[in-house]
Amino acid sequence: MDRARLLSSVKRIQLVATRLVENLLAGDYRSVFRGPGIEFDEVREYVEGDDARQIDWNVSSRMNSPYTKTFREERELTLVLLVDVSASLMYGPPQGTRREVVAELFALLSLAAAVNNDRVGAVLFSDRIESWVAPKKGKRHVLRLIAGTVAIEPKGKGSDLALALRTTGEALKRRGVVIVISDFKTEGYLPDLTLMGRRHDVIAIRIVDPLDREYPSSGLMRLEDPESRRTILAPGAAAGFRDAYRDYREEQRRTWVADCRRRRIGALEVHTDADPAVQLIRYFEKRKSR
Amino acid sequence: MWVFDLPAMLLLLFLIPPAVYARHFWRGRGGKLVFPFSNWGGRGFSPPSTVVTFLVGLGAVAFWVGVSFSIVALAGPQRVTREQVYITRGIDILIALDQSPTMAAKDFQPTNRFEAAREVISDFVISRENDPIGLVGFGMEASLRVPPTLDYPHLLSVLDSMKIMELGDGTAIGMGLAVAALHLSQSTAPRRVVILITDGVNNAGEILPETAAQAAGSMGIQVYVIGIGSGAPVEIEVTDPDSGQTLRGTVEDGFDEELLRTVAAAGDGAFFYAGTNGALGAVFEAIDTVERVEQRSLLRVQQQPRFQVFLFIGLCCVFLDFVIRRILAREVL
Amino acid sequence: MTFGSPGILWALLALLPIMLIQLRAYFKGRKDLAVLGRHWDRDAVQMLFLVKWFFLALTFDLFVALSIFALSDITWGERPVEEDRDNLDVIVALDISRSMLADDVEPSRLSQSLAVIRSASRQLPAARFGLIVFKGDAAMLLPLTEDLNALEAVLDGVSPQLVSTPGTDLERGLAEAIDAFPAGTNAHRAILLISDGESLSGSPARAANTARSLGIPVLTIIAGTLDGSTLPAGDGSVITDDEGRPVISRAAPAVLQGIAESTLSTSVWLNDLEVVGIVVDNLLGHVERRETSGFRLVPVSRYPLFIGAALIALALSLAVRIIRWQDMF
Repeated sequence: MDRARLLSSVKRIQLVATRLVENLLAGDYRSVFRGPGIEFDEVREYVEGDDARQIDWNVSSRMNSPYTKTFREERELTLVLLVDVSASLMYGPPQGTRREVVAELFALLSLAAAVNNDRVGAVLFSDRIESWVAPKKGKRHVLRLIAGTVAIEPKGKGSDLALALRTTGEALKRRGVVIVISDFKTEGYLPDLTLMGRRHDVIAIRIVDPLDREYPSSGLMRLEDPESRRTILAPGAAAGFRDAYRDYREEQRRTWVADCRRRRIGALEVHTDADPAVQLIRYFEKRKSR
Repeated sequence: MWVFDLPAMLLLLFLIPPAVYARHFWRGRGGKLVFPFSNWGGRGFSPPSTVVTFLVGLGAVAFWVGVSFSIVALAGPQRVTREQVYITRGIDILIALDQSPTMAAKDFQPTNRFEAAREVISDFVISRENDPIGLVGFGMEASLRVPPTLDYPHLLSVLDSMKIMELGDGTAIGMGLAVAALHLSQSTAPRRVVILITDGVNNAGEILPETAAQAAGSMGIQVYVIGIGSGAPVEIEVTDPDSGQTLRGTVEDGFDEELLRTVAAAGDGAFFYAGTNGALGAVFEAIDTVERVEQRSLLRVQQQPRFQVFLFIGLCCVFLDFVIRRILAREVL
Repeated sequence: MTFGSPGILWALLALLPIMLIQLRAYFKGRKDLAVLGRHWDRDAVQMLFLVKWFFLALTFDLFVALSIFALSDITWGERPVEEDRDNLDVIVALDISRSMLADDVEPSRLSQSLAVIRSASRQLPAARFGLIVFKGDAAMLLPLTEDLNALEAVLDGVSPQLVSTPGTDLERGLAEAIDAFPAGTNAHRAILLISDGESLSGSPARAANTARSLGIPVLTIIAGTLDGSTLPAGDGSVITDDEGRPVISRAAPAVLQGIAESTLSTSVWLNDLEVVGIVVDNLLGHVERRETSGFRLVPVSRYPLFIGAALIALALSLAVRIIRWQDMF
């Protein structure tokens, strides 16, 4: 791999992400991940403007005046980023679109966490765990993480998300935030995702390429899947073929969304043909307002 | 039969299976675009069978069939024909056939004397090999119908077209014999034979049969004379080819045996009398047996290259594949 | 260098549409790859595609071109084949269409042709002759025979009325002449084709090909002149077209020369003063050329070279498809 190009690409992503995070994303990030780490602090007399929902009726009835609960937020979160580095995302040159989007998302999220003084860990997986970095604080740590992710040259081809989820679940003792960045072109991860969703705050980010939505009208092409090495003949000129492909993709998407919703897991689709930062921010705004 | 010019080239056919494997089944082959369409650990997308994929499959089959045909063409297929070729000169035989109205006499089965003679002559012709045979017809006058030739099919078709009374009402035996002798005069054959078939007396023509026979004899031409007819009165029925009129009558006169014997003697031949179909056949068989010379022949082997057919089919098949892939399926690579 | 079936070379024109299709495929392919291969380095993909496309197109075009050359039965050089023949069989194929009555050759094309046949046959007494006449159809007037008297007699009766089907079908005439050689004879064979060359129907080249493959040379006599002349109508006037202008019949030598050339013989003009001599020399030449050693020189067909090269080109085009380049495609 071209080292100079790689370095410049790392620098660029770090820079862009830093700016975006400081200007836009950091606040959103915190408000979304206020977290489950809120713990009961004390009960005090209700004053005008307090949230009526937080009134402690037991105490109030005993004291004959309204008392409200106050909470202290657990400020420090642990964010673990599960990054899919399987061949379906990583094939092609390092400038490949999907790869860049993954790196950018990774940089944005990890920097946002760092700015908010959270611990950030990363699990890079293919059909094995390619790299495991324990959660740590600090911007330097995060920048190193980003560089490592951008430069990764995965040894495996497949994407064993189940394995990654299991490993993370075992390692992450306290409740934390787990963000999965993947194209979810894998199967058999649902039980582990369910488990993970029960114990941690999980957001699934699905990378979607235009080619993952529709097959372009084109000539006959032999296609090879980068993971299974399966080869098919793609008659891109045949409407029947393109329809079947679109239907298949649409069905995959619907299943994925339904799977996430059922497990109360945040589901975000990031399209590679649009700015991932914008999509991320829009998602956070939406979640915040909920 | 088929042979190959370069049969070793057929071994190239053994290269086809590995080539088919490399082209269609080998995982490492190129011309494929990496494109994630599968789920890891799952099925992923399977393309439906479309008309295009079917056609592409058909094209692939056509392509390999085409390659096979081209390889066969390269091996140089040849059609071998064997032909028996005579290197000796056969006997020249001229048959002089009486076409006078009396030949229509119905004492020969199934129709009349003329038809019987025609049948026997054609059997005779078919039984000969390498002997040029010609045909002279005579009635009022005489004419050469077919010069001595080995083109038997042509001879038989002319024989088939001959009709009674074509050459007028008469029997110019002398003229018939003279015409036959004339057309044998320049022949280089080791033996020259005239077979004269008649049923009447010489009543026309400027040349006497004896004179003609002597002339023939002096040229070394053998003259066989066959007199046909039962001799008893017999009914005749003949259609004049000029007027289209049908004439009927009874013929009582037979042939002039004396004259015919003289003619045969002068021509150094023999006289035969044939009163019935069987007798006529026997006479020809006798002549057929006597007039035989030793024939030497060799087998000529001829090879005709046939690669063009194979190459053409091969080219068409490969081109079909090209059209399917490039035009119908618009193959990228 | 000669071609057994030169007409097939026209198929080379098919290369033009093939190349157009290939060019179209290139531009379409560029576009498709820009979309399908969007995750690759665009320039590298396009460059690789250009190279692969170029070699694919080149090798395929080579395959087609070489195959067509092979199909046209390209020959050069000569090789002796054993052939033990003696004597000479000549079938004369004589055009008796109306245009043969034209008098641009004195006294008329037909009369002069008959005279040539007579003289030639007298100078070749050992040869056997046969006569085919043809117009829109063909008929055998004389089977192959040694009997020159018969030939003379038949020649006396030749006129355009002998065949009723109008027109001029050189192919029929030639085919009939080829069929007129009886099987099993051991003589050298030659056809003497006399016509003004106006072939109105049939494919003379096809019949010429048959003659060539059987080793029968077709010596052609071009009856007529390039200037041509009018045709007598029989009542003293000349034949006119719909607008009353006299019809001019001109000799068309190209077809006849083509037939002669493809059967390794020559053609001669009927009004050539030496015509009889040339005909006799040529007919004898066909004999002598072979009889010296009992061998016949036949042109060597080079098709294996061309098919071989074509197959190599095809194999290369397969290799271009099969071999993965630069770990991309």
